[in-house]
Amino acid sequence: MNHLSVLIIIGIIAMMILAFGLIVFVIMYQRRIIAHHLELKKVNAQKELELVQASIQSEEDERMRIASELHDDVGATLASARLFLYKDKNSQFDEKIINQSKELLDESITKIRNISHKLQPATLQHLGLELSLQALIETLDKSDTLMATHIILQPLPRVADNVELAVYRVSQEIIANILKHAKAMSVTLETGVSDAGITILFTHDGSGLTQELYEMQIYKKGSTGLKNIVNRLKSINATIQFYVDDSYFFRALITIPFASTSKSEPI
Amino acid sequence: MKRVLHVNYDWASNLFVLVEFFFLSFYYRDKIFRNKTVFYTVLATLSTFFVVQTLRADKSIWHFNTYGSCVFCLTYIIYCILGMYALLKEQKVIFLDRSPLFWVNVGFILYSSGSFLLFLFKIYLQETDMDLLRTLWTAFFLPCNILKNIALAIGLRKKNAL
Repeated sequence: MNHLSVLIIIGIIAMMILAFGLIVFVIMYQRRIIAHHLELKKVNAQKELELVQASIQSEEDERMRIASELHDDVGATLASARLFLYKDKNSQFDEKIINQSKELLDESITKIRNISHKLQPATLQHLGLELSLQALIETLDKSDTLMATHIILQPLPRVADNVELAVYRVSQEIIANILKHAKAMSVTLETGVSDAGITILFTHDGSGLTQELYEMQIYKKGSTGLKNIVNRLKSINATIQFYVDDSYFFRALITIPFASTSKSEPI
Repeated sequence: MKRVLHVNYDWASNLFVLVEFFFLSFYYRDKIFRNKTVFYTVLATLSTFFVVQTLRADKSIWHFNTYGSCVFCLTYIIYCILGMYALLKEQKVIFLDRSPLFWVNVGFILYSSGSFLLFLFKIYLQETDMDLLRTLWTAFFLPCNILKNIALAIGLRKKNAL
């Protein structure tokens, strides 16, 4: 074998090594880009979550401010007016008009108190999620629109304020939806703790949502209530599942993983 | 086959190489050539070179045009490098194995780099060391050709392959 033949063999091998090298370089470079893409996606998701949390937080702050204004300012003013009217019982004013005014004032004070309570539930902050849900269900049961029951499977532990508030708001939204759309005769709320986390299960005998329908609805225009549910649950990494059980009862199961329930720094 | 039937198929090989060059050039046209004039100039120049080179040889089309094939191999290497560059630059696909262009590039760059020097020195080796030519043909050209066909098959199986 002469020198040129050896050179030819070396040349062929060198060219093939170069070709392999090029392929390996392209693959490695692309892997780096994939890693970069994933990192970017993660950062974007984190930012999105922070935005959602910030928007919910600002909404809650605003609600709290309005609630305080209603309770402390407008409510107090109306209560004072009521006091004056009761005081003037024996004056020369027409008794009928005074009584009507009193009734109107009483009604206004009750309404304001209710609005204030709905905007910022005091029980939630002081007594926790379980008792707040209990109070919500009792109010619903007293309203005579449907029969409402609360079953405590396991006592709920106290969790971070934002988690409790989000779950409470979602529960309010679900109950509002049941009242508005389901035409249900009864609703049951079961609260408990499982391996997956804290579970809250709504069951009603009206017409409701399935998971498929829910996923279709949240992408539709409107459906603000459902979108609020999605955003609030997303902000605490919780999930919701809609399904129909064997007895044709519609169910909505909220699962809050333990990882999301720890107290976190406010944004 | 050629040895058994004593039939010369080199004219078919020449035709195959030319047609392969046309197909591959048109495949890469929208992927690496921004300017259509450059594409048609390259296509016309190289195909004319190949045809002239084939016809000028002693046995004309009855003799396999190794120099022409060698030039085509070099062109394929350039196509593949530009194809890889286009893949990395455009970033249309995140996973390379899902891109048909990637597989076509892999197939042709391996085939061309394995065959380029072999075609260039084929006549010399035929005259000086036929055994070495046979060994190199078996060790490099045939495996590279098989790899090319496998890569092309994978590429053609992908969505939007053409």
